[in-house]
Amino acid sequence: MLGSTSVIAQKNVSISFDLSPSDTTMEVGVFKFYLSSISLQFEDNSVYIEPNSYHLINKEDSSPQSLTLSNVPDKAISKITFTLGTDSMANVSGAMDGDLDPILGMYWAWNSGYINFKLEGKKGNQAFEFHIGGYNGEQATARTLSYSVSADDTIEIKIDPSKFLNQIDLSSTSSVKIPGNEAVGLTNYYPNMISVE
Amino acid sequence: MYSVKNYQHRIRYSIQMKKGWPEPIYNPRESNAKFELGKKLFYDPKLSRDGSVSCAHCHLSFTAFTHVDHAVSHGIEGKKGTRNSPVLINLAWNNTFHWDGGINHLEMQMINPIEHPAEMDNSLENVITYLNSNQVYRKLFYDSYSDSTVNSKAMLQAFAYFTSQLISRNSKYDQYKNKELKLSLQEKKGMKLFKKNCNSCHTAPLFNSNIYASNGLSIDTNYNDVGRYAISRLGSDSLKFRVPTLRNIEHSYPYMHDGRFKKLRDVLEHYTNDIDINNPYLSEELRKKIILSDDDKKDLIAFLKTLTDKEFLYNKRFRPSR
Repeated sequence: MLGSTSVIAQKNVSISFDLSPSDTTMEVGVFKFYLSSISLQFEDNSVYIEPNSYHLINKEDSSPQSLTLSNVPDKAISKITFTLGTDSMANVSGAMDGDLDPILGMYWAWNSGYINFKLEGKKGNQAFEFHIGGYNGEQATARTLSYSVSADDTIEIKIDPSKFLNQIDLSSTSSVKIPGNEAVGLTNYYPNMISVE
Repeated sequence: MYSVKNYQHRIRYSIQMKKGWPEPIYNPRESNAKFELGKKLFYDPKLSRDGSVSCAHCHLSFTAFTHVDHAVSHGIEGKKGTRNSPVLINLAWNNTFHWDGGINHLEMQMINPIEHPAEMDNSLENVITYLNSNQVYRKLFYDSYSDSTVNSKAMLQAFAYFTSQLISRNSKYDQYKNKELKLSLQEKKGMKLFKKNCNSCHTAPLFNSNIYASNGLSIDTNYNDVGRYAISRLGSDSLKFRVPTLRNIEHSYPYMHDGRFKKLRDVLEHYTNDIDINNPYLSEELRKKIILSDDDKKDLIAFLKTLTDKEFLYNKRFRPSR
């Protein structure tokens, strides 16, 4: 080789999702959400930040329940950080494409902004629909979460919609579809439904 | 010689600066292709679910892009909305859109009328499928983006391009400011009254404000429209609406967010006699009673008519291309 360019070996990291409900009395109609701003921390404490990191994850069978981070330094991973939802930049910058295309049913036409998390279905006879969104000030619903992992090139994120639902008293709250206090309150239930391996 | 500097000079934005005017918030690069594409979308009834209603149905160029004599908007199958279709004037200077400011970017405005059940009642997905199946559109998209495949981003940007170009700044008032003509004595008296009583919210040269305010209207019991509160969920925003532009006001009747006033006389009657001062969030500017004599009202209306911009209203470029 000419010169002395040092080459850092790179790899792809695959993140897969298990979105099945552990409670079999729960019927999931729609379960879609945004995962954004993914970063990985390595054992040497350096960090990889995925550029333009916006992913729509959809439980629907026809959708891939995985994503791939490319050009990741080939080092042992010790921590993953991501945001459940979209940052305000995505919400105020006009027309977007890719996973942020408003055609994907995760955008409010009457009150500009993305629906960060959508869960619809039935538990027993009780129907529920939760469309959680809002980006502005006290209405912000994006939640950043970090998990320790010990991984090389695959990470599995388990997001159990039953564990979200079980924290809600459906007899009093079964439908939230606008930004505001209720939507913000529901994001407090995110951590309990997520585990990372 | 192609220096970097020369190259930068050749970038031309669609909206040119004008003395005394603020910079526009939205100013895309000049593109005749996007203008034509956006205009075709604006006049195309096939964007609606049953192919009956285009944007121009409620936003007619001759009347400053609103629907005269219609208190509230009319959609497909004769469905009625709950608000007066707003004028489309100088949108490039607005930071939010709709009477409640629910839309935060000009490019995202179009989705609401397409999908609203009382307007076009269609889906964004259907519209994109239609556009992709149409060879004329595919060519226009190619002309704009060098790519004939239509996606929502390209459509929304082309549409916003067209609506951002609906610029009115050559009214009689503007010509007076440019010293091209003189105002009559009556118009000048009206201007003085306007500056004293109206300009703090309907601020020249745009004659609007990018704020929400309560102008003392009682809630309309047909619609129970709470205005900005529906978006912000703040009690203090109850019954507040965007402060609209008064440009071309002579032609954009009826007035107010629900079109309750048919004539400018009625509007002045409201501001002088009918303000609900019990509303705790009433605009501060309106707490002190506005007193206008009958002659004052005539003078003020004469001034408001100087905001009519015939070049804008009869601009052939804004009408459908053949």
